[in-house]
Amino acid sequence: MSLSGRGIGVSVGEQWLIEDIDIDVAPGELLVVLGPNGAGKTTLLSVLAGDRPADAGEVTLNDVAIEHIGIESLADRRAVVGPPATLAFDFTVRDIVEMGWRRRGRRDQALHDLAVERAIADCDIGALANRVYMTLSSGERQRVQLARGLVQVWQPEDDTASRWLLLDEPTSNLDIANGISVLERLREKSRQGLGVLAILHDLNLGARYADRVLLLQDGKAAACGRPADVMTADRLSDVYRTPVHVEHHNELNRLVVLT
Amino acid sequence: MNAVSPTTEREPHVARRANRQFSTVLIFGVALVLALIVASAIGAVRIPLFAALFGDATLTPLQSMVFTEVRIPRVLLAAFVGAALAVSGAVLQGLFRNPLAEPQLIGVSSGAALGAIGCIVLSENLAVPEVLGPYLLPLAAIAGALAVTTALYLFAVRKRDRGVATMLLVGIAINALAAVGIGFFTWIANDGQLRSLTYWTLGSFGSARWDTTLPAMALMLAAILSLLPLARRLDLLQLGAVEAQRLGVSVPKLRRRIVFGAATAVGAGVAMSGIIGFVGLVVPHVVRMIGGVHHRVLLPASALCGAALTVVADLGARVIVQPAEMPVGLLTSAIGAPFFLWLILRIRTTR
Repeated sequence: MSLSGRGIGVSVGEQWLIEDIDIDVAPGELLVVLGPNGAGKTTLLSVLAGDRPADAGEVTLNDVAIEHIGIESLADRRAVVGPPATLAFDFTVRDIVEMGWRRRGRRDQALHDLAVERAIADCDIGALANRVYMTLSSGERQRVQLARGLVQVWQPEDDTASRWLLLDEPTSNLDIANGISVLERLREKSRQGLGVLAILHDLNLGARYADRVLLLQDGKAAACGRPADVMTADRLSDVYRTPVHVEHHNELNRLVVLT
Repeated sequence: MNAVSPTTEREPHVARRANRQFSTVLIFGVALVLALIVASAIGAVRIPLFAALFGDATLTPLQSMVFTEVRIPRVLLAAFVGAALAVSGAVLQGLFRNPLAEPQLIGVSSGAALGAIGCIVLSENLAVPEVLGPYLLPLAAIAGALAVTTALYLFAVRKRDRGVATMLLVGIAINALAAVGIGFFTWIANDGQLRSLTYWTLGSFGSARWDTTLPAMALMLAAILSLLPLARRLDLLQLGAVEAQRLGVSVPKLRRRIVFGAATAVGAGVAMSGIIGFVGLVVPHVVRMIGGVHHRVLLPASALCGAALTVVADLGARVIVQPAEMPVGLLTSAIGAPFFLWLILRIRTTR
């Protein structure tokens, strides 16, 4: 039971953007993808999300090839939180969050309200809920996108099917406190059974919250495993082509990455 | 007051929004009914509708003939064309994610006019089966509208350029191309055809007769009904094509349905009444201001508002210069063009 890729590759002409990557996102885990610009993180995410087919290898969701899952059923099972959208019309924050809701039944109205209010509270955007989305700052928009994703993968009590949330740099426009609160939320959701894959640029957030880390370099997997095993000073310095120090901070009792 | 009803449990602003959406549709529905009643009664031949219905007055043979054979088809045609143009404007704005998309501005109406005019000029030389007769003109106009909408979509959206300017510039180019075609057909037309052609360039409901308008009204109704269920998918499309797909929307299918539906609505409308400008621009904007941006309100309310507006505009065209008649397209453009200018200036200052 997982969202998996086996030997996946994506090519543009002769160039392989990503090549021969094996990945499993299990329900209940928070997998963080790290890597420098152009390492293929977003390409990997778009293949796992089913946006585009892999040119090599295969992506499966619970052992079913992803291209054989209809886009409606796929949307029931996984949500993607991308960069903030630009809208031409004045939808409110609440409108955007509600767009994640999938169930159409009339009886689901109470559940809908619950899921939307919970997501709005989780992402701390209650004060913005009735504002027009396009008047928000980019960091605020990013939290709205996350709330929409959480609504999409909302797990009702009568449904035990696993769900996945894929996020492309969900903290890139957020301040420190908001970034930490987003990762806290993602960890909490993963503990409730959600499979979470997040692309991050902040190595410290990755080291602190990831169950496992996939480190990409030039479209290939440089390493994959527990943060302490993957995020060594030598490997990070090599992948990011700049000196990186990693130490275990005894007072905080966690890895700290210094650049 | 101690019982908790389901509505009070809900967030107050959610209930308020539902209320606003419902009353928006209601307001425009009432406006349309009033417009239909007034427009059927007033005209070159005044028809004492109220007195005939509720009082003791009886209609003269002339009055009842004018009412059933001239007035009613004309008012209904105006309503259908207005609804078709307004809904097409609303869905095209949603598809292009661009508040300035409008059937006339972006060339869809010209494409339809070209199809219709080509049909008028060339059909004498073609052996057309009798059965197809009343459908030929609408079908030719729909083909023209479809060609333009598809071309526009390929040019303006596939290039990943969502700029307002690109779409309008492509629209200008398409309008220019259509003008060449229309000019060509005008040049080769004979005197009788020429009179019919002039008609298309100005727009009028003056020729409405049951036998010709019924097929076109059926097509417009079918097109509008096929567009209404797309409301939620159009909402999701506002996030962008990729995001909409991730939320379970089959974007290529949605695009095809919008392009086909809008082209059918505009084509059938233009075939009957010529080019009636700016209804598709003004109406969705007015509706958004009153009822919000959700397509499930925008589409039906635009249909009702567009119908009411066009019926009133046609009434104006009939009575302002009595006993003569002015082209209704002139009237709608006179209102719409300044509105368009205001909209451009407003968008420039806020974005």
